[in-house]
Amino acid sequence: MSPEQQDGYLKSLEAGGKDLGGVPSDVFFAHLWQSTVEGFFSDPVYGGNRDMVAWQMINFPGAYASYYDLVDQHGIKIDRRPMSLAEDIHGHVHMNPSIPARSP
Amino acid sequence: MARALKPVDVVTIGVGLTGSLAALELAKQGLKVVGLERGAPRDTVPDFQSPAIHDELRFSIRKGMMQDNVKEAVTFRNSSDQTALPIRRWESFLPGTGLGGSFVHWNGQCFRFQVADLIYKTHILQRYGKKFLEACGPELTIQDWGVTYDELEPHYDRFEYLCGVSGKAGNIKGQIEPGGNPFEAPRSREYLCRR
Repeated sequence: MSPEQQDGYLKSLEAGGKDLGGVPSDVFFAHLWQSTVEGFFSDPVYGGNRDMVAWQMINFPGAYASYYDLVDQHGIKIDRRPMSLAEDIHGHVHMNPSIPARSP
Repeated sequence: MARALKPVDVVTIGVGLTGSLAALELAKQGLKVVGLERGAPRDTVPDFQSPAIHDELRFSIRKGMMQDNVKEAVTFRNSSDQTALPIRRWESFLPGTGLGGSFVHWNGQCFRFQVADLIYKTHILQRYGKKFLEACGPELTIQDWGVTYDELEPHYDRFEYLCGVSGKAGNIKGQIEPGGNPFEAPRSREYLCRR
C-alpha cells in the first residue's frame, strides 16, 4: 500500500465499524495508538525511544533520581540531557525489554 | 506432598495494612506470627528505589503494583441485566498485591466515618420509618456495622496519631471548632499535624 492508502486504512480503523475477527476496529486502533505512544515515549529501558529522541523532542528531562539540589529554586529551565532509567553512572544505557510490566 | 511446618501462634492471611498491623501488635504481645502474602518479596531497596520506582509505564500505566488480572481476573457489570465481563485494565479501583498490599500505593486520605454511617439501617429507620425501607424491596440489604462510632473513636485517634494524619478538627468532644468541618463526628482531640 502507498503511504496515503496506509493512512486511509488507519483512519478507517479509527472511525470504527469494521469487525476484525470479533474486535471492533476502533477498539483495536485505540490499543495500537496507546502501544505506539508507549513505545515512542517510554524509557529506553524497554527498547524504544532510542537515544531518547522522543524526550529530546519534547524537552523531557527523563528519570533523574533526585531533584534535591533544585527543590528550592524556582523559575529555572531544566535543559539537561535526558536521563534513562537504564543508564548507569557512566552514561551507558542498558536496555532490558524483559522488565515485567507487572510484579511477578 | 504437603510439608508440615513448625506450628506458630498466629498466621495472618495477607500482609497488607490490616495483616501487618495485626501481626505487629500480636508480636509485641510475645506471640510468634507468620504472615502469608502472594507475589514476590519486596523491600524498600531496591524495589522502591529511585529512579526505577518513577517508571510511569510500568507503574502508572500498566499498574505494576496491582493484582495481575491475567492470573486473577475480576468481572464487572454495570447493571443486573448485563453479563459481567472481566476487567482487563484497572481503572476505578486498584486491588494491590505483594507485601504491603494496597497500603503501598495508598493515597493517604484518611477520612473518618460519620456517626450515622456505622448505624445506617437504624439511622434510616429512625429518620424515614419502616415503610421507607420496605418500599425499597428485598434488594436493599442495608445493615448496621455492629460497631458504633464511639467504640471506634479511640482506634481512629490512635491510627491517625500513628500515621501523622494532618487536618483541622471541626468537632472536639461535641464542641464546634472554627476552621474545621462542623459536620464531622466528634473527635477526642485536635489532629497531630495541622494542614
